[in-house]
Amino acid sequence: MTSKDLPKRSRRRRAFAAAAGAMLLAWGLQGAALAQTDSLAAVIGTWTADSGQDGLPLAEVTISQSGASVTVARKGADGSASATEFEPGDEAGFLIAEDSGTNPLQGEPVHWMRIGENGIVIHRLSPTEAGGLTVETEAFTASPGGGAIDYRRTELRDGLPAGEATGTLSGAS
Amino acid sequence: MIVRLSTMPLPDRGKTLALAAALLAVLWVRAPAFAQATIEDFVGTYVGTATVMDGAGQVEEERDMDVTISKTSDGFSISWINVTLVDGRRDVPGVKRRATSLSFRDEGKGRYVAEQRRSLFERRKVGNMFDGAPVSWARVEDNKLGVFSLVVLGDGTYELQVYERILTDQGLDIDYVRLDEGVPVRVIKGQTVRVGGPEDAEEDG
Repeated sequence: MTSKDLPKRSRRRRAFAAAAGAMLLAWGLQGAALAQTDSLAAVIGTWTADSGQDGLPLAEVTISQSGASVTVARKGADGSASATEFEPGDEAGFLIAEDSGTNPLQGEPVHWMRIGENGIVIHRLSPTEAGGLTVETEAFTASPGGGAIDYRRTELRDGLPAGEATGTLSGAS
Repeated sequence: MIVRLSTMPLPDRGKTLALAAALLAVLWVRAPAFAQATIEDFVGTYVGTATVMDGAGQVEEERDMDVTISKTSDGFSISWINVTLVDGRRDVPGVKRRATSLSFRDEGKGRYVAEQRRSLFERRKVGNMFDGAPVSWARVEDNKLGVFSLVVLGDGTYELQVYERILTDQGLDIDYVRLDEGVPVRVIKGQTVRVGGPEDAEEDG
């Protein structure tokens, strides 16, 4: 049976259901995209580590957006400085670092970002000298009160915890 | 505490020596049979049972396991069969059976990398993690064979599975954990006994 065989009312009902479904899908996708935009916007800016946070590897971080790309520039507590640009991947909210390889077992670190809830999460996979793999994760999350971001860094070596640091970075005035 | 043997009366010295010998004997007996194992030490066939738990340690199911580790021309292969039990039984409806196999190529320095080939005739290829290709590697450390598999998921999160097979006097102990974004979500602990030696697990490949 084709749609032409259906009574006019049923055809109209089907068309209405299809249109409503498409609208809901578009609304859902738009909502997800907006949520990601909000999550990213919440951490855009320059953030400085509050004093008295022992073991925090970051002194300052600047998260900026240019088009669809996101750049994370950091100043380490040891005085080092670096910047990484992340470019959009195939999926929304998934960005790949410009210096990333595609397989850490080939000796090339794999480095990407995902826009999470209220912030961003950066992952870096790199091979260890012992033949394993290190997973380094940094999460920058907007503080509920605003004006600051919570920072959390964890490191796993072959699945075992190998380091953790947490702290707060405040918005530069 | 420093014990000066030369200043002790002889009977005490004898006791101390006997105690030291007993301690040494205990330590020798308790020392792992394979202080630094090689992949050859793991080759064999093992059967046993395991308990599957969620990340909080709540038991989810019990399963039977068969594990075979074989030497290959350029590394080793490992295959295992899990049979999920229903009320401790494997002869009732609802039982699930899953067979898995992986081959690893020896990269030197104790590291093994999983073969991406589906057959002997297919060329080796390097998987792209951003296309969903998992990376799997293995390592022998002390008396443990660690097998690791990491995959980047479509939403940018990652999943890491760690299997540790630990040599015991009877067979292998199994320690498994699945981490989602570094958080344990599934834990498996099991024990096996060796039921076949290397001759039963030889492979031509």
